[in-house]
Amino acid sequence: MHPREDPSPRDDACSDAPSARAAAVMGVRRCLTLALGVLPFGIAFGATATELGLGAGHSAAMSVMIFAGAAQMAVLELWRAGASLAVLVMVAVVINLRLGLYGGALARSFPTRPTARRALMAYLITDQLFATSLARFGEPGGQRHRVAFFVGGGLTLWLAWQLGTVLGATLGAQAPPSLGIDFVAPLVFIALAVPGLRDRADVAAAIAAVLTFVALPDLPRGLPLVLAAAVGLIIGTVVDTRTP
Amino acid sequence: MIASSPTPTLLLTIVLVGLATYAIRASLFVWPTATSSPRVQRVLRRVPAAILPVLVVSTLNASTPTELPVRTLAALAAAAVAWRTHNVTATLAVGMAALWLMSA
Repeated sequence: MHPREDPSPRDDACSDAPSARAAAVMGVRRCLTLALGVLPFGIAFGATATELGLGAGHSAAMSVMIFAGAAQMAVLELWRAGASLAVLVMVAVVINLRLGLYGGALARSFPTRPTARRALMAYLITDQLFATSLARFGEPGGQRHRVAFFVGGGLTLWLAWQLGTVLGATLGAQAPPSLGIDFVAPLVFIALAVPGLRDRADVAAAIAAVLTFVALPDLPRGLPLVLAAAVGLIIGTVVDTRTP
Repeated sequence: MIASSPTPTLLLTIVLVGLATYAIRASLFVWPTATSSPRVQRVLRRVPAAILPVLVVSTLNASTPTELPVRTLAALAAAAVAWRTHNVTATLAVGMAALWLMSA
């Protein structure tokens, strides 16, 4: 079963977002809680960067230029450990490869958009925006005003990341560890991952990817995720093909 | 050990990683011809399921060994809520509440 198999634009479908503005507001609202989850990440990144002597300006520049938390953290840690430029770039690329797959999976939702507009939208692609947009576009009426929804949600997450970075860089990480704020990270991914498991092939892909990730030996950072995702994609596609 | 002040290496890294990350994001999104075939679409449809659960495990693994059992239980409670409600706020609220209750 593929409840969201038909991704073609259905502009006549009923919608709870009658205008582009309403769709943008909906994007903002759907991403607002996720943005609350992004904020502590940003603070942790800004605080770590300051600890390493980066300064608020450079931390913010990094968050604007790269806008990808896991890769930014990895670059910081490896830079502290004295890694070479080539290693820093390669590790970040491997960690961020999934963003390319997100782009590919989202592209069919914006088939008629001009290249220039898609080029601007691409900058906003994150884990959170990807999962939220895909869920929204699969809803009844979710095909309308997709760009507005995407940009509204994307800018919300972007602002949260930049705000968190600046707060962390200027104030440092001041939350007591006993609050367990870092637990927000897995929770955000649970909130994104679980509703995305729509059929047997999805469940098979998820189990295969997680088992691969857990079973892999100690590999360079970022690589286990790429390998696990590859196995998940293969198993999911095979199960999908064999399901009548 | 704290490295010396933001060296040209780090600044160059920021620019290069930024450009590379943008190129990755834009590649299949801006020029989707490579992904338009039904076979590729069939694979891309599994992207959320193949990546997001791994990010759950990898971020959960960042906990200390003493934290891990309680955090895993709280994560399972949150997953149950996510399954039932598809609601981000409820998932985060129940997950954090479960963690605090069990750690208290």
